[in-house]
Amino acid sequence: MSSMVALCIATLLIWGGIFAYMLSVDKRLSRLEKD
Amino acid sequence: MAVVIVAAFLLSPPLHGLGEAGRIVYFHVPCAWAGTVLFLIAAFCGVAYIRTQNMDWDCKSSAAAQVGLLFTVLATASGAVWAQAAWGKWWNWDPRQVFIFIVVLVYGAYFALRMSIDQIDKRALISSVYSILALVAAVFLTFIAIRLPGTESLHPQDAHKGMDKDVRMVFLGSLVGFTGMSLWMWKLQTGVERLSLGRLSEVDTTPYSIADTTRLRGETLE
Repeated sequence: MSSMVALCIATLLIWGGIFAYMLSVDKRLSRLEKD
Repeated sequence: MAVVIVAAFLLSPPLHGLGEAGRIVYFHVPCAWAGTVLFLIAAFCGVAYIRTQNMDWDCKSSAAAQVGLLFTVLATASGAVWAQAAWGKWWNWDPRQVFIFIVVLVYGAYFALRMSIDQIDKRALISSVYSILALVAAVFLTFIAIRLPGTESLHPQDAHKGMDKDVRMVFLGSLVGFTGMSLWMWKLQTGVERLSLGRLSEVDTTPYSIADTTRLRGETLE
């Protein structure tokens, strides 16, 4: 794997992970507020 | 954070000896750092719960452990990507990889423990004690075990010491940004935990007494 590809994968992984986590928090918060 | 990302890709020169993939250091190290800070907060809130028995501290402790685990998993995954580029293997059982994997398992067990206890106060007390023990394990594995004889690692050590001024600026900016973002995420997650606790306390989780069981059995027999 080239250096640049590894950098892009790692960056997308980190920011994608944070984004997915925040989406799950938002979803859980909406469900709790709805109940 | 947007400034940090732009600076990491466009403004910062490549790191000495690490090539373009070395820029992962701007995201990987701050992730590991944010994870450690949040585990420290989780243990601190655990101590505060044991002292005060205030459930709000348990909410804060649990939220900190959740966000801390997220950042530790992201640091592990991004480290594996860097290992593939630098060493040619995603996972080669390097001591640093093994130790961070153990930390992930230790905090994974924290949530398994929380889910296995129904009584809210008992769950809070036991997980508070566990969060303190988990921090001791995490600090030992991250900072001490890696320096013991026989655990020599290929992982770059003390990379910050040889950094140029520009690289150091971006790196410190990233550290500050990730720390701030992780604390904000912790605050949001604490709000979710408080709401969740409010819902839980509305549900009667008291187990059936023997009298209830007998009454229920009697009704069934009739």
